[in-house]
Amino acid sequence: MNDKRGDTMTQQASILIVEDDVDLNNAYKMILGSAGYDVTSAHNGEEALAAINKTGDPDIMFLDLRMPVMDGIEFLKQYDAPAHDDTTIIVFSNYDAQKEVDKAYDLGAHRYVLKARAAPKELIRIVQDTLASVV
Amino acid sequence: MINSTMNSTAGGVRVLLVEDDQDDYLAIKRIFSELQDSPFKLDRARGFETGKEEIESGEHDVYLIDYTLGKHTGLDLLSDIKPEKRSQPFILLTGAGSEDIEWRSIELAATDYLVKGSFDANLLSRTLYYALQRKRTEQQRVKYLMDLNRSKDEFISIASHQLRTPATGVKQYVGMLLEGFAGTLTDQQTALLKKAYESNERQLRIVSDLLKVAQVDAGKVMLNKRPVDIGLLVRDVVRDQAEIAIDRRQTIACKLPQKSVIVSIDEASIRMVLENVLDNASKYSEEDTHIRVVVTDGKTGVTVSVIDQGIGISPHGTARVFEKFSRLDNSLSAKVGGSGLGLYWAQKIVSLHGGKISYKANEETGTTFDIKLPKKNTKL
Repeated sequence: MNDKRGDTMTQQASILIVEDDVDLNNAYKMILGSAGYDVTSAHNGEEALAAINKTGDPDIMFLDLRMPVMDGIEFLKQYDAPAHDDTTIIVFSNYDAQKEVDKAYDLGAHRYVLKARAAPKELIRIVQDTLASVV
Repeated sequence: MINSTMNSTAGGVRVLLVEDDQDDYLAIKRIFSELQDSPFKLDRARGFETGKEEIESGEHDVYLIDYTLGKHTGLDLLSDIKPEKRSQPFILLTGAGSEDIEWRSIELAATDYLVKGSFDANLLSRTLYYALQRKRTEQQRVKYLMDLNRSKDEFISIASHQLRTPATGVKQYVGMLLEGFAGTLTDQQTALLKKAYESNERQLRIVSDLLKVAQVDAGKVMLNKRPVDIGLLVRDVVRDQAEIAIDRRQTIACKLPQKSVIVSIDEASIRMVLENVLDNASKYSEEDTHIRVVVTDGKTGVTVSVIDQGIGISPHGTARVFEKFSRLDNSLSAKVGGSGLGLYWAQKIVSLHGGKISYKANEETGTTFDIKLPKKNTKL
């Protein structure tokens, strides 16, 4: 994974998908992988921490909120998002309880996208827009 | 008897008597002194103002208020205490034959009343005990209802999450097929998959609409207002919707004021209101029609008008446009298949902003929806 976001112009941008639903996780991996990104996936917060430990901070993280073992909020606490400002964290959830979303922002998430609104091409556009805004 | 049943605090039960007459105070104090092993500790406020101060400080467990308090009455005192300061029981002390006063005291949420000169120590202690017990039961009930409401909100959030997840899976996989992830499709395959995709989109919209309406009905919508250039917002929404309209062979254009118009709004909510009205204009218009969105800057507010050349609204449908679950019968309603919640929600949101949403419809020429938003924190 990349250490600096500027490098993503010349290298594949790295994306970590944290999503417990296996079908959705696979779909996102296929969509973003086929668009040329370096995609890693995890099915809960604990797996996400292990993946980051192994390969470093991703450029972009799509983070679900409601997950077994370790949910998105607990992950953000343990990851200490503000200390990893090279990573853009997109809360990507179908759980739009305002309190939870606000909590995620307080813990360092950068953006919230309702999963149900993002079709495959929109998912790629979100990644492109995010990378364009940080270069 | 009192001690065995009264669940008093370690410091006893603090009773405040609001009484300006010294003789009456001494008489009531004497009755209290007749109670054996009483948990009650009697304090006195000598008049209306001191009584009000003491009550608002909330240091007592129960209040005994005399009806006659100088120029004021005990009822004046009750109506002067804010509802949030009335967490403890009030008992009014009245004269004999004052049914009107007794009735009014109950209306003002007094827990009970006692007729002066006609109660002894036993009746006094029983009245105090029942007043405290009733208040406790009421507080437990309020807590139960609040817990129930919280559970309901949580249920709605979780249910909408659970309903959306499988539909999001369908959206991704059908979307991938339509975008060529599994090779080129025939025209027929594309057409069938588009139907499946659209149907799934409709289901997702219904889930979102149900959640939004549940939130607005429960008063849970928190507006995050900030200054927004309404022209830029309208232009942005029109640009997004124009892409969808192309599929329906429709065109959308907007006309904005020359200068920026700033309004204090919750941008995300008003964006959804505009999307909703514009989407309706498109859905209830035939192909090859044009939609205009005009922003007009007024003295007190700004109006966004969405003008379509659609099928209009028949006179017998006009009363139900903003009703929950209202679906109007027309030549396109079966094809459109909405939830009947969008305009209900939009009206609530615009109203929360102090604005108004209205429409003029004509079955020949189409419909115009006007969304008026105040420029400052005023109601239109």
